[in-house]
Amino acid sequence: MPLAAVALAVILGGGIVVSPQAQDASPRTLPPAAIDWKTLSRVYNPGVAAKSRATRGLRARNDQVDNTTLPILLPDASTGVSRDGLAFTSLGDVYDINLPQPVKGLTVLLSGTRVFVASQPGMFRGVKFDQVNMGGQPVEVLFSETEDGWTASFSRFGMAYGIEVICDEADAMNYCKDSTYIRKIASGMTEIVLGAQAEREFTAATGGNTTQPPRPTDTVKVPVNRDVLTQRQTANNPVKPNSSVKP
Amino acid sequence: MSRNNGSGGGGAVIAVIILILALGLLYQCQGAKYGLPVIPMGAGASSSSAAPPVSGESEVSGTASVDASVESSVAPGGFTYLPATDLLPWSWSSSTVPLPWAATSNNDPGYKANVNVDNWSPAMCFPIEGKAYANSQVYRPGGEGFATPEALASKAQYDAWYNKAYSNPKQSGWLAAYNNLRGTSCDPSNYQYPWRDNFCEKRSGENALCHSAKGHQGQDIRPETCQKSVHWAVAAEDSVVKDVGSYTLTLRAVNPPYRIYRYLHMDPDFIAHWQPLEGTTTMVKAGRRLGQVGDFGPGGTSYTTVHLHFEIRLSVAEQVNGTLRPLNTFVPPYNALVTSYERKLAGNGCAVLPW
Repeated sequence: MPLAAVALAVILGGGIVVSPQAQDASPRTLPPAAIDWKTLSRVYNPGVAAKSRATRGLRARNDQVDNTTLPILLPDASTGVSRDGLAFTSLGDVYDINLPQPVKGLTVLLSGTRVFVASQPGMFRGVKFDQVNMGGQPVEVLFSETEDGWTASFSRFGMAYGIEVICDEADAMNYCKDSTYIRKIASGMTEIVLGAQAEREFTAATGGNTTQPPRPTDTVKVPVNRDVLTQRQTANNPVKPNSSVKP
Repeated sequence: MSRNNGSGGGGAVIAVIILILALGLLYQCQGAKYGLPVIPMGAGASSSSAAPPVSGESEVSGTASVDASVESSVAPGGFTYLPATDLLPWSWSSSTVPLPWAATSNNDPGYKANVNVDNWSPAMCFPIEGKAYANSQVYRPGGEGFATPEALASKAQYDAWYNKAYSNPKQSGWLAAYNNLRGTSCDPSNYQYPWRDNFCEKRSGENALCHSAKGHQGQDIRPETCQKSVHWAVAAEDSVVKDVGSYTLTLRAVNPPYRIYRYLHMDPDFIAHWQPLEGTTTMVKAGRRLGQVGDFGPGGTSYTTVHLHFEIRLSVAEQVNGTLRPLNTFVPPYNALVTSYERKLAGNGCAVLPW
């Protein structure tokens, strides 16, 4: 760039600050992170995994489960989270689980990923994690209240996992008035499922040995409400009262 | 050898450039003293060093006119914007509206914007069709964090309108009192450039990237007009539909780093279309119309001003003692919005796919 042009740009001042070049600086996406299979082997229970895989939503998406490269975490029966409407989507290195609950407007979302973006040093300085007992394992969890519920973020086996509770109908609001409900879910995220690809990696890394006996999990019958999605659609019919302004 | 020679000459050029930059900065800092035009340069210049304005409206209008007049010749459509993290002065502080008759305290470290100005989605499509105005929907006319000059003129008038506007149950005339107190969201100043970042402004939710670990988790964007259910929101990237709420739509991008995009206050009639069928995954292409922007809240009721709350979430990892420590977090969308909007205005935006 000619010096005169540089000088002109500088004299105009603000243009330097908001130059597109500065904004194009983008954080680097890291290669898929390594999974800590050794730690996983201490808590992985093939029997529980088999039972969890038999969950209706997971069974329906067997191909997607098998293509998922990281351990899939599910809430155990102690959480009271219904899996009846479970929807599972995987992109291989990241998965999403959608759990509409029988309470109108209450949804639990779960996710896991092994793909991260590199942070700037100290980017999260000052962030206070809560210690959660996750099936006997102390895990640091960051809880955040959102516009429509709560999120929880934590790391296990070198992966990043997320829980989100959405309350967007009157009946559901009690579940989001504070963090009690999401904390209960977080402490019960103990069921681990491996898809075929992850199972192969696990076996290669550990010989398939776990310290957990391969027994089936105790199951609790959760309320079945097959009309959850229908209810949500009904709720989506907009009510359009006179204008009011709230943040 | 030639490389060495080149770097020696380059050093001289760099020195000259640095000198020019320094002169430019000196001009930027001192120019106003001599009555020369100065473009606001960022948070330090326009927010923290200046006393909060008595009236938000006058401050907003003043900033807009300065920027628009200087930059309109270089940006398509007259688009101008303030730098990322340059929040409205009082929108990150502990006092909501600076009341002239009340003692204000900024001892609270407040909700200052974070210092991270990266572009967290450099190639995304701008999420609204048509023109748009990124600015706070709380701390501008019509929002709870704003007071009109008329309301601030006297404490008695302010209290009278406040009590009427927030009467419970709402009495006749409360809306007029609210509008007198807060202005209306259709105020023309809300539909002008420059844009302004409002990630991290004072809100109740947590946000790991804000100085106080609390603050707004996305960016408010007003569509071209203040009419609801007229303007389309479009997909920022090729994505799968992750969740459909009563007024929210959540997408998961299908390519690394698998960003999550959230669209809030959408018209429920439209987003209901995306409810996934059991056992299926719904995919949308970048630029696909998703639904119309509204003012909707829980239960699909009218709840806020007409705007899109746009969020980007990512899994971000930092090195701690040699190992990666990942965290799912909200990231600032502002710079990604600016660059995608510039591409759009320049005719290089995403093709919008019909409803």
